[in-house]
Amino acid sequence: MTDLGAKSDAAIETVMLIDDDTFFHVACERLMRRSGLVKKLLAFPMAEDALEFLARPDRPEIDVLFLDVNMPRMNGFTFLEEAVARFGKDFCRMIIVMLTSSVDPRDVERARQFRAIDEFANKPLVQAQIEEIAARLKSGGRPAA
Amino acid sequence: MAEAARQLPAEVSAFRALPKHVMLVDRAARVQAVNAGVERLLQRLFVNRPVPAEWALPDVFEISREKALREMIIAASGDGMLLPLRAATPGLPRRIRFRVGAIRDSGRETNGFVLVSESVDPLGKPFRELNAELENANAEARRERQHCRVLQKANDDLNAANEELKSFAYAVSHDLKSPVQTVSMLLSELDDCGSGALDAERSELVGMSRETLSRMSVLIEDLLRYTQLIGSEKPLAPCALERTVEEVIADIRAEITSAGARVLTGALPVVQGDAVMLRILFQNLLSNAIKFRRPDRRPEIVIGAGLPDAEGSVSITVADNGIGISQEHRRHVFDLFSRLHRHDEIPGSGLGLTMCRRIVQNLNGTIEVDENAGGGSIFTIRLGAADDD
Repeated sequence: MTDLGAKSDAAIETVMLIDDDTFFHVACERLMRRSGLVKKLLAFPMAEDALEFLARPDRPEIDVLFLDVNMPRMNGFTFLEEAVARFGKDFCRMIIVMLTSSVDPRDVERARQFRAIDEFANKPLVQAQIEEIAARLKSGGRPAA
Repeated sequence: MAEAARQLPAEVSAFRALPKHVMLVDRAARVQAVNAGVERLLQRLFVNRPVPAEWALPDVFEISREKALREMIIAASGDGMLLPLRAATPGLPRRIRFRVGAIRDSGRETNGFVLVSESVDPLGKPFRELNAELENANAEARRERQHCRVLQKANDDLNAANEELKSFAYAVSHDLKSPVQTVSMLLSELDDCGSGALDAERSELVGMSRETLSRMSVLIEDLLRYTQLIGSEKPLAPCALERTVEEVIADIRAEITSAGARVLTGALPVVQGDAVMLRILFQNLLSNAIKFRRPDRRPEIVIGAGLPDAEGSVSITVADNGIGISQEHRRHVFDLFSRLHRHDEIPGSGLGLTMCRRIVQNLNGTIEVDENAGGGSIFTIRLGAADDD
C-alpha cells in the first residue's frame, strides 16, 4: 500500500489498481499523486494476488478499482467473476474497467454482461478522469449508465 | 458393350434414342454397337451375371453364326428376320422381329448390318416420360452449375478477403515499426541531451519508456512474422528434420550457451514440410524451452521421434525440464497473444506458440503439449512422414 499523501477532503480514500504492466503502475501512481485526489494506492500486477488480498479480513475498504482486461493467467473478467462470487458485487464501491482500445466490440460486449462494472475508462488515464471519479464518490452517486 | 456403344458412328447415333431394339452387327454376327433398348434387354437377360463386353448374336439369340449371316443377307432384301431369345425372361417377348439393312463399303461390298426391331421396346419408357427425365436432368445440371458458380464466387471472395487481411496486417505492423523506432531514438536523445544528464527520476522514466517501446517492437516484429504465415500454402516437400534441428541449434547457439543448456537430439525422420517453416517451428520451441527454464536447474532439451504409424504420420517430441505449463492453461497456450507471465517476469509477445500451431496446420499436422515426466513440458508434433531417400 502506497501512501500518496493527499490531504484534500475531496480525495478518494483507497484505490486498487490491477494491471500486469508495472510501468503503468509507475505512471498511475505519479498521476494520482500529482492530482492530490488519491490517499492510498494498492497496486497489483497479478489478479490472483489481488483476490488473495481481498480475502484478508483486515483489508481496508476499497473505494475504486481500476481493472485491466488483458492479463496473463487470469484476465480482468475472470477476476471479476471470482471476486463477485466470493465477496459479493459490492466488494468495492466503484469498479472501473480499463480498456486498451475502445473499438473492440467483443470486450465491450463481454463487459456489458457484468452488472458490477460501473464505468469504462480508456487508457491512458488522465487527471480529468480522476477528478470526475472523486467528485462522483463524494456525491455518493453511482455514475450515470 | 459400353465401349462398342461409344464407337457408334455419328450418323447412326440417332438410333440410340429410338424406342426400339437397334444393333449394328458385322458379317461374323458380332454385335458392334447397340442402342439403349438392347442395353436394357441385356441387363434383363444377364441379371445375375456381368453383361459381356463383347458378344455375338448366338450368345443371346437361338441362332448359329452361319445361319445368322445367311438370314441377315436375305432379310436385307426386305423380309426381315425373327430372332428367338435363348432364355425365356419375364417381361420380354419370346422372339423379336427385326428389319435389317445392309451396310456397304465404297466397293458396294456388304460388311455389316443394321438390325431394328419392328415393335417398340417393351422395357423402354414412353417418350413423354423420357422427355421429362431429360428435362429434369437438364434442370439438375443447371442447378449444379449455378451452385458451382456461387461456391466459386464465395471461394474467390474468401481468398481476396484473406489476402487483404494479410496485406493489411502486414502493412499495419510494418508501418507501426517506424514511429516506434523514432520515439525510441528521441527518448535516447532526451536521456543524454544538453549538458549530459537528466536527473535520476527523469532518467528512470525515460528508461521505462524505452523498455516499453522495445517490448512493442518485439510484438510488432512477431506480428509481422505471424502474418507472413497466414494463408501461405506452399507445396510440401521432404525435409530432413535432423538437418533442420542442427541448423536451429547453430542459430541459437548464443542463447543455449548463455543459459548453460544441453540439447540432446535423437534420430529424426524426414517429413513432408517446408524447410523455412520447420526452422521457425523448432526455433520457437527450443527458444521457449530455454526461456521458460527453472532457475534451479540446468536446462535440458531432448528432441526425439517415433516411427511412422499406419497412416504415414510420425510424431516428433521436444521435451524440456523447465517450469512446465499447468493443466488449466495448457489448452490456451497456443492462442493468439496468450501469455502466462508478465513482461517483467518473462518477456514475449504471446505469439510464439500461435506461430508454431499455424505452421503445423499449414503442414497438415498437429501440435499439443503435455507435462513432461519430472516436470517441464513435452511438445508433440505430428507430421506426414516422407520417404527416406
